[in-house]
Amino acid sequence: MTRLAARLILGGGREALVRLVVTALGVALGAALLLFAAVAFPALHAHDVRAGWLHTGPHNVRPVQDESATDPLLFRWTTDHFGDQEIIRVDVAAEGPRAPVPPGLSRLPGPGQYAVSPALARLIAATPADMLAQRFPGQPVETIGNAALAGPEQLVVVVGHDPASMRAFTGVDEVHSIEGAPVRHGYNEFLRIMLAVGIIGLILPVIVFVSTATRLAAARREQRLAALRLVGVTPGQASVLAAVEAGLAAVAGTVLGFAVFAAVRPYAARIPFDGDTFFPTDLRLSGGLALLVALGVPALAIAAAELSLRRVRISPLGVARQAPRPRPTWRRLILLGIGLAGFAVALPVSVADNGSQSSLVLVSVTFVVVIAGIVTAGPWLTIVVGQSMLRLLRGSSAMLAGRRLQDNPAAGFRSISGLVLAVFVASLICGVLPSVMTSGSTKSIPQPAGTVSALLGGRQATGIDPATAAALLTRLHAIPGVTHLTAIRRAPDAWTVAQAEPHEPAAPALMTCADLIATAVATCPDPGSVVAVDLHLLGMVDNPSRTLTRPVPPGTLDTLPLAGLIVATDGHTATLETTRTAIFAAMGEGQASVDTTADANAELNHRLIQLQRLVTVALLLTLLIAGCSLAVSVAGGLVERKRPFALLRLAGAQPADLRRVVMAETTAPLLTIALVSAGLGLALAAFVIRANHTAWKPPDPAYWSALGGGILLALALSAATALPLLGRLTSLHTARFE
Amino acid sequence: MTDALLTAHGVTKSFGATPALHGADITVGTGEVLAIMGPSGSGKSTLLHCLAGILRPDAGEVYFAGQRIDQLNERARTVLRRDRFGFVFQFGQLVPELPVVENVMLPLILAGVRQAAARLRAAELLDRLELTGLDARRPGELSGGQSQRVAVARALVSRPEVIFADEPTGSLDSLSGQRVMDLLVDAARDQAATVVLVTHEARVAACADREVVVRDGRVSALVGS
Repeated sequence: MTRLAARLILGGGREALVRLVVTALGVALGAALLLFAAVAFPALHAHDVRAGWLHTGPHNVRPVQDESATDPLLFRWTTDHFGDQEIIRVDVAAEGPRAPVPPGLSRLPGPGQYAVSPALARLIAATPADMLAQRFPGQPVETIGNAALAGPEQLVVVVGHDPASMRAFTGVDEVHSIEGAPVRHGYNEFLRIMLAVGIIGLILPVIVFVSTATRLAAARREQRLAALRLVGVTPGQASVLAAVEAGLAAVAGTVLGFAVFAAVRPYAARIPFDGDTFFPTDLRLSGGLALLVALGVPALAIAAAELSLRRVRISPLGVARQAPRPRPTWRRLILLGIGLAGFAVALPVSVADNGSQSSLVLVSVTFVVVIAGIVTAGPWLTIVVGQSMLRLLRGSSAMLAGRRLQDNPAAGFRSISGLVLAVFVASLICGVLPSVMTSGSTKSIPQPAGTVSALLGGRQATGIDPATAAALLTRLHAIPGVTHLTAIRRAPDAWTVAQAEPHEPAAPALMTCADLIATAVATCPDPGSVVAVDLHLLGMVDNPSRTLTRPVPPGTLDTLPLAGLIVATDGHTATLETTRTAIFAAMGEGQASVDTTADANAELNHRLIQLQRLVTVALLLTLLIAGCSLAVSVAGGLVERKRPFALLRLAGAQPADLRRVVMAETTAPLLTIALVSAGLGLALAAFVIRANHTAWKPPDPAYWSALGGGILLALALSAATALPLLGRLTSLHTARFE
Repeated sequence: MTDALLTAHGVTKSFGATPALHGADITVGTGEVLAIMGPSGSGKSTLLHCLAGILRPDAGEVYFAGQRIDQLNERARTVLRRDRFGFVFQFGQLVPELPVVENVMLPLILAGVRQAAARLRAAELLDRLELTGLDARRPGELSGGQSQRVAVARALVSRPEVIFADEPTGSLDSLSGQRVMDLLVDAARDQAATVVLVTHEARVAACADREVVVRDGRVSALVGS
């Protein structure tokens, strides 16, 4: 049988070969996407594993070294920026020869030495020293290895110090081991649930696509197998023939899918899904996953082919005598109702359980039931659409399309099912994200763009002495592009202010009222006066100046330690980075914290922005796959109905009429059911958000444009595929042979 | 009529709510060429399908060579069709992906006959049916008459005891149709095969030894003997 099947495929001439190639290509695309979906989360986890050492502290969850056998290590992790790139800076000082060494290093850098990641080494080499290199005291002695880097483009520096000077830094931990546990995600339980939902949402259209590609020209195959059944092929043998035929294309497609995966993997590794790119090895398939896809895709294709041949097995007369299909009724909605009810119960349980593994499984299962409910209800909705077309529209095209949808609603819905599911999942996720983004973010800093803010003397901003401060201010004034300097001075501890809130610091920072007005952050009534501010809240909107309990003459400020700086610049990267480097260099040994407006704003929503990017990529990908499914399905349906269309053409139907029939039977159910799906997705999103006791916000305009654009693109894709094909199939030359 | 090879008693068959046969009775003798005639929708094709074990009657009995076949399972009926029956339909019975010679060889290959022997037998029949030189062509490259002759060759290749022909000339002009019928009947007689022929054309039925008429699902009239 296998030999006969191979003979039928390979000896079937050009048409059979084209069918094999198209099916294999479809399966290849699906398999490649499944492979990328399969490696996505292990790859993201690899980031977490390699970034774990940065979270080293006195009490590590999974110490890499035996803490009883090591000497202490002083360890501090801070972030710095260059342009829009984050630099991770780790300061270390060994208090003995057995101090633990972080991953990626052969030894600890000593005082006056530092180690840099390859990407940072390249950046330092390509940048003037006063913009970057001068931030790091000493000489580079080693390149940090991959084991310590999230990705190849990550900027990391490990700076060595002597223990005595480093103990003066703020935020220093004394550690006895390096943390070996992966970073715990900051995603809350909702995002984890949405992530699980998103994976299901991405995989489903891929499965639909693989099934659609396999069912391509299923009617032709049914006829062939029916002919074979007539000459004595048993039902079992017919089943084997179909399995071999579908399996051959699927195996070829899967092999090609693995090849596509291998070829695209280095490029995919460059996509910073969570903010960092990947090493190509991060996207390495585990044996289990590879086996799952290698066996699962052909199995899926074979199952789809077998499913499409149910009727052929009944009779060797094949499609000529089909058992009448039961007509879908409103009862098809029951499964959807059960799924929604299950979701409504499971989600609050999961939220109350902080998104535990078991509750996530429960939510995922109910979500799968909801999706199965949509698939089950789809044919009934298709019938409703067909009935409405017959009732509301006039003309032969609407009549033919409406009748076809009523006659074979399963086929009508099958074409659009991938797109409908994609719309549902996208609506759910995009309906959740705006509310999560809003509730998870903080107010952005209102300082004008191009501002550099610095806290001097460590995080406590104890300040620097007036003489050093004068030199720094002179240096900063000399930088081209610096437009205004606001100096913030540390008030002596004895000075107090009238406290508005009990937790406000008693000893404030001081600045002139004129400078405060210049920062555009807050205002004060008398520009000539000195005002007290809370240095750490300077960036926040509602930070009114406080009234000092005793007046301070403006001239007195220059005699006080400089605790902070707000530098207004022209916003050019060179100005910003030179300013930042000048401050670091003046302070030495990492005693400053310097941020630009862009750094602060970028950090505020960094993770959620990355998630939104992930969702957008997944949405576009899903819609694209679903669009391909629609195109293949519509084209396949046309080939299967070549004869009736050709006969209609011979009977006098104009090509435009036939085009309208094809587009109407696709567009009408697609738009209607996609609208229902979108509504259902958004309603579920509102439910999800309310379960988190948060106000629901509708999706932003980008969602509506992506959704509308995606559906239109899919329709355009199917029209571009189907209409020329229809023209060929129903040309009078072809039609007369039918 | 010679010994009964194929017998049906009280065969009833419906498709959903649509009745096709109402207690049809028929007997076909060994080596006989029987024509089943009747107007469109009378149930003559359904009767042929029931006799050939393609369809299972809702009621009644069908016997072949003394064995009741309507109660056999699908697999057994398939093997029966493959080993002891041959079929010629109006169209659609050839596998478009296979060349002519392989279409003819198919029943033998399925029965486990060696390729070389099957090819030899197929070539012999192709010559017999005036299809010499067409063995490498695909069905799509043949005329209607040639396709039907290939179908006849395939029906005969495994030396079946019965050949079932359902409107075998329905899509052919009268000259081609006559040629196909002559070849079919001659070859069947040479192999001592029984032929059950469904047709609505008197000219085609004239090739038969005996004619029956099916009307409203019953074998209501016999013509000849």
